[in-house]
Amino acid sequence: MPDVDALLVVEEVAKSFGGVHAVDGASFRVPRGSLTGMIGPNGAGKSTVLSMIAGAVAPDRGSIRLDGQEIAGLPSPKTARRGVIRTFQNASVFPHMTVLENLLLGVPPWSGETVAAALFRRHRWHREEAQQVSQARNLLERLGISGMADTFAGQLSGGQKRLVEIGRAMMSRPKLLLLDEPMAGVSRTLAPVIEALIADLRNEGMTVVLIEHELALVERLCSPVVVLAQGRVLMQGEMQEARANPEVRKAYLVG
Amino acid sequence: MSVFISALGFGVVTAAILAISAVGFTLQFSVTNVFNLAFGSVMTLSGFVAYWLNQVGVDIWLAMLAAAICGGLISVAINELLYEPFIRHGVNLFGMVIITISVGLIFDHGLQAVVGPSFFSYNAPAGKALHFADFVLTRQELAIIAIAAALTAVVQGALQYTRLGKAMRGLAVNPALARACGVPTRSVIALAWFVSGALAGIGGVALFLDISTFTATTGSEFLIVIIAAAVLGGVGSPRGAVLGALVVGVVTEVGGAYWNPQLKDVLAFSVMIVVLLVRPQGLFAQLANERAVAR
Repeated sequence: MPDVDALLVVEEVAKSFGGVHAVDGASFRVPRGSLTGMIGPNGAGKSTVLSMIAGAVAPDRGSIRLDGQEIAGLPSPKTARRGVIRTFQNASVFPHMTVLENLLLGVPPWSGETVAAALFRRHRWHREEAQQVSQARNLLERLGISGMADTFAGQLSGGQKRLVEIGRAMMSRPKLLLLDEPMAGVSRTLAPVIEALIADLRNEGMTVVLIEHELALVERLCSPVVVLAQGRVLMQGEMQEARANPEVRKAYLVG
Repeated sequence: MSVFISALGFGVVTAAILAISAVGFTLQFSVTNVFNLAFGSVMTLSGFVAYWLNQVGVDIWLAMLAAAICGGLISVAINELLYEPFIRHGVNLFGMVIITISVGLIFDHGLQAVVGPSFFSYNAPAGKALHFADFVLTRQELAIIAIAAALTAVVQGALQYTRLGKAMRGLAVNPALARACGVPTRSVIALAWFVSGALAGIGGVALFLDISTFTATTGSEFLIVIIAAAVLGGVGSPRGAVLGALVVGVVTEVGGAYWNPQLKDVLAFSVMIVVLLVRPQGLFAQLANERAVAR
């Protein structure tokens, strides 16, 4: 795969927790504009890889380059400002804030958010905020939850929280969106809504990495897929190839 | 009747001082989840900074401003140099309480070693007494009430309406999510410590003005009442802290006037216990359980 169309290049990253090698020299590429699936049995290290890309966990070694720039080891506020935005396996919202406030917290840049700016550049601040509020309201409309703008996020169902979380992630128009099992805890009625939303994001050209258990869903949405097992990348390619790959089959049977 | 009215006046002044301090205490707790029992020592230290400035002729209100800045810096330094290393080692909420008590004791007794066990007073005239019906308040007391009202309104407004305030509230409940949103958590935590310390400084000077004589441990003694106000309001809620301060301030002063001034602390805690029996989460509860120290 040529280097030019890779937005994210992960090379030989490793992370161990107290002697356990969660990730043990994983390398793969995320092509620009792709919806890359990340699959593998439980404990394969998928979430750890995602956390390292997002900066929540610093790798022990290896390199992670976004648009050619090294981001390995940067703390997550910094990776977030560079356009790497993640969601969590447990739908994560700020429960004591409204849905609208949750979305507004997803907007960078935080650099303008100083006391001085709030006091002395109020005009710009107000104008920006008005823009963001209207952007958030449009987004809620699109997610089909515009009626809940002023509901406290803690009161929503699992699937609705997930929508808010993805909405929060979309607010910053990320370069790279990392979705960690977005279907977990989502009801059957909302699952197709979220699937369609992810497909839309792909069609609009956003680069997305998706961790997902359900292989049928990955097959419908993702190209390429990265298969992890025991902290290593078994293969990167199309889902059909993965299904045909004897090593992948073995890993799934063993894992 | 006039005993009641004048006690009510004192109660409002005490409530004002309590409100400034309790908001500082609870704001920092709500952001970082460190129950900082060295808060009273920051009040005292900043109060003494104002005292030294006052001794060399600086006006007490200017000295109060300096105390606010010093209090903020001391508070940030305590967190960065003393608490952070423990937090990084994964000390839990309860362990941190013990550490904050130790830091408070070290500061109080360190200060006492420097200034000695004597009583101190600011050189500041209380100003003309102003009468409102049976209410008698000095200009100084009125200024303290005005400062408390302004500060608590600013803090509450900032938390509610600015993005920085929202970031602080978000950080309090889910630090990992706040970081994933790009909130620079380290700076926000440092800012919370600074604001808390600044309020401790202002509260300390206001307290020392109000009670007119103070020692190296006055702030820590008053901390008990501050905690009663903060817990009464629902720890972590600045709005609640203001309400708790009003209740505790008025009840202790009015009760103290009729009964025995020595028993003010007893009254403060009796009110707190009665309220918590009825409403265990405090008057304004939020995010009560399952908290961890924010990093």
